[in-house]
Amino acid sequence: MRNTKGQMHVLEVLLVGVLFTSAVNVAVNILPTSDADNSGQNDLYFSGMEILELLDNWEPSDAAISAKHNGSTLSWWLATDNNSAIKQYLDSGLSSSISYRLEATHGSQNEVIVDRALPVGEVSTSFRIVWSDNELWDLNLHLWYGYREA
Amino acid sequence: MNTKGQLLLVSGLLMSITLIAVSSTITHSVNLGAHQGERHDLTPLISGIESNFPLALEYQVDQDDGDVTLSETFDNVSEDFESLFAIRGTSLSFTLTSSALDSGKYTFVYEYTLSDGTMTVTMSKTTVF
Repeated sequence: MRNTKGQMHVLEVLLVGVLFTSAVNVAVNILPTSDADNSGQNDLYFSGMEILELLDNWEPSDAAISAKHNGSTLSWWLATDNNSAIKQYLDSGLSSSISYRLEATHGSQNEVIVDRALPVGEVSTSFRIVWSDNELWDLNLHLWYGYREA
Repeated sequence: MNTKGQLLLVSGLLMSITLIAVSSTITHSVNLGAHQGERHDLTPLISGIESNFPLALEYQVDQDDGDVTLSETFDNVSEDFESLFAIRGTSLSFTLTSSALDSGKYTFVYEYTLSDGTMTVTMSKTTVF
């Protein structure tokens, strides 16, 4: 009798353990993970990488300008300090729910091409290394979800 | 008394095993969730190197004007690119296979390996100018 009681107790403990493990497994599989992943920041990063890539690969229609600036509109606009054109391109190319700030370093110079204050929350930074005006330009495009200032 | 003690020991062991199993399952799921939907694409980085590295190399060769060897020039330009990628957590490594100047024409044969920690790509390239 005493032995049977003991065996029952072991079985009970086993059952509770298995039930508990199963319940947690089911819960973990069902619960959404969207708040835990960083796919939103990942999407922002690629939006930035691709928009800079497009501008770099976009050949100016004027043959002389294209030849002078290695067939790159981005290189042309950087070399000619055409910051307003870069801003206009990024404003229309990026989703309106995304705001951004564009910084550049070339030679010993640091400059802000599109000046918007960085928010306190999460910011994703895309980049592109561009050859322009006989210098290597290191572009940092900071992106975040939020209101875009003018 | 002895039986009771044994039962307690077995129960404790089973509970410990259960706890370990549960915590490792949760850890695994959280790790998977943290990377869910992540995209790994090296195309924008490759296009940046393909478009801009040869231009930087050509300019530097022109500037050095034979003062240093072609492999040194290549090393200097590639180090600039490698360090700019490294500060972004992307590994980039150039290896020069050969470099030559023939009848005013420079030829560089090299390969570069690019990795974001998940994907690794090696590209072979010949640049002539």
